[in-house]
Amino acid sequence: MRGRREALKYLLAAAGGLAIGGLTTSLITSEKGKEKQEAKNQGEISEIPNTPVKIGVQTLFSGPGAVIGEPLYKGAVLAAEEVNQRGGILNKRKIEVIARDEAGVEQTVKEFRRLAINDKVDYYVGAIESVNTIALGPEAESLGLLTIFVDGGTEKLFEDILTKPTVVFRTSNIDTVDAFTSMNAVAYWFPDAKRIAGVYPDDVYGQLTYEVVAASLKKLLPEAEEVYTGWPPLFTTDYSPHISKLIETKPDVVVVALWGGDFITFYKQALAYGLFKKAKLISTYGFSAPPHHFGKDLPEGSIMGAHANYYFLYPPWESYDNNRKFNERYYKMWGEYPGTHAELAYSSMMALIQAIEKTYTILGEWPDVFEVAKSLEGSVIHAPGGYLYYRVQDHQAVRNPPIGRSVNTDKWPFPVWDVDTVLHIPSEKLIPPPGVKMVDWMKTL
Amino acid sequence: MSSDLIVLYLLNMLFYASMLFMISSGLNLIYGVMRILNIAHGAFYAFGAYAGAWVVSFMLVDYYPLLFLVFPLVGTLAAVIVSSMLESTLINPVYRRREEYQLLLTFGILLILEDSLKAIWGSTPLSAVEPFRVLGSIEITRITYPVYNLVIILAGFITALTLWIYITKTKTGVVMRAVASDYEMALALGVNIRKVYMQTFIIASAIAGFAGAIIVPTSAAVLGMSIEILILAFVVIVIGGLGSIKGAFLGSLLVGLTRVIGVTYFPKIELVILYAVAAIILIIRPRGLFGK
Repeated sequence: MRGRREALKYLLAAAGGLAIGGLTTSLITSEKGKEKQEAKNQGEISEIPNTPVKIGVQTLFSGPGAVIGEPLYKGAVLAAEEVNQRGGILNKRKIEVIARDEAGVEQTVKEFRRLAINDKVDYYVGAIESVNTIALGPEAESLGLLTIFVDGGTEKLFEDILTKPTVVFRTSNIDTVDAFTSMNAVAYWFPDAKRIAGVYPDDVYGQLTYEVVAASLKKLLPEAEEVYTGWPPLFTTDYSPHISKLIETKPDVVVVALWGGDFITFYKQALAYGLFKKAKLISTYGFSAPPHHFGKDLPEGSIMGAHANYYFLYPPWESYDNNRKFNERYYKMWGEYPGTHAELAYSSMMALIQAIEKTYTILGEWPDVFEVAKSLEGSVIHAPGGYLYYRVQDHQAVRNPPIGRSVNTDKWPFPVWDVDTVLHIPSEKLIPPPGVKMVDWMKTL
Repeated sequence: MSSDLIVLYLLNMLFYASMLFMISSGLNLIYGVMRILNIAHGAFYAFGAYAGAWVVSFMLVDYYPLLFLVFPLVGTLAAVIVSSMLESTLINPVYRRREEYQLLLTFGILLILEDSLKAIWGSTPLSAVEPFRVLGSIEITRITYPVYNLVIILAGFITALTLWIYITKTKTGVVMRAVASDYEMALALGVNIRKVYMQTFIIASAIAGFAGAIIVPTSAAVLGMSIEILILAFVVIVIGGLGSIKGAFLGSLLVGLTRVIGVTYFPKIELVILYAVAAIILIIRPRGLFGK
């Protein structure tokens, strides 16, 4: 009886005006949807199952990538805790997070299958590396597992591999947006830069970032020349030969696309070599790591990208309560402030839960993954970092990418963004439309 | 290229070579004496790094510079404790067994130790940058160079010298060489092989632990570092020759030089150059430069 009352309560909420647009239409025009809608109209409301909803969370738990991988897990757990505290999904189904390591493509795919087949997870939220999302995407489609990639933002996923995804989504902005955002920031803050050097990880992210940096230079700083481009392998421990070459080539700015712990190792070593006495540091990804990883020795005024997604102080806490509260809750749970991937994972979980609840209010029945996926298409999330929208065509989320410069203040024990000067460029100026690659789109600008 | 830059590149080469020697010499020592290719060697390096980084995290090197001696000692000690426990329980039964058993066992130990690191210190990398930061940088012929890197270069050379004196000038070293060159004869002469093996294993692991602890302030202790470093150590011993300390020394210098040249002139194929050199040496001298 209680289940029936619960269900009716949600139906009333639906009548109150939730999700009455395209989603409703698309759900009830399908045969199955019509049947459910009819059943709902006749008052046949199915009970919400009382078993927990299992969500598989996969992230980098080892290597320097754990610097950004751990926050992903922590953000997902925070979301699950919050929902469980209010009684669970639809006030009934608690969330159980099952965590797995993301370590090497083969192992990552194996663990993904284990989550789907052995652990029988209902949904999946995770993945950071692009090489992994490329492999997991088709796997998720064939297993019919609703998957929200937190990151792994290569444009190849939705441009070449899954051009018409059904159950795969991605929350992080496309990787190439990092590079374009960062180069827009360089053109804005250092328009006189003539000698440009770069250090890119020898991975999918590094290669795509370089491609966009090179194209951006032609467009935004046509007089600048590339003086050095280094390609250290992932998880390099000694960057001294790269730093020496950078010193030799005397760049005005050094674009560094290293991520996770690699960036931290690089900048600490480069500081000791005095690289930043003359050259300005531009990081596409650096501030995606939680802020406590940085020392106050980070050169002031460096352009510190946060993977074109989220930085814990932005939107400013004073003007955007959602972000302040998220930070407070996260700090209370984990004793540190969140990195980019914590917010991305949190938002992915919330998007998923919102979609499940919304679909239930329309159908009056616990939805299957395809119905939830339909709800996710075109949905907007009121995320801690601002509004985030999952595009219908390619399931890629988009948001206005912010970027800032580092400053040391008495308020924080680590360098932070100078929030008063953050560049927050509208997404339509930085993110290509669905089906178009960044470098092709840039030619049309 | 100016003379300043040549000095800089030379120092970089020595720095990298020094790191590699401290890791590969122990691996070669074990193979030379015990004929075991110890895949778990990288884990002792990682144990040293984690223990060292853990100590650094609550050390006040700003106020007490003598504490610089503490974290390498703790790293060494951690590796000695773990290796002596493993030698007497797991490694000992596979002496003189077929190589497949030894490889499987040591690989298994590597995985167990990696997971132990995770269980003890968690999965977030442990940073230990304080000693690196405190020592700062010095100006050498108009170039800025981190003092801590000079410490590592020095540590590498001291390790090489100590190891050479130990092997060639001490009685236990001579016995060790005797076992390495003719196991049966050493046994017939009444050498306590069991003891020599144990000594060799612990000394090699101690060097790895020391290396891990002293290198960790330049980067961080991370899970997976055991395997990363092991691959590089293998490149060194492939070039230098399995079982030869001299080979490890020259192999390290050659890998250091190759890397500097690779990054400077062929940055896109940095790794390819390294493995290409190893492949060429293997083709010309399949046992490496000093392998027997």
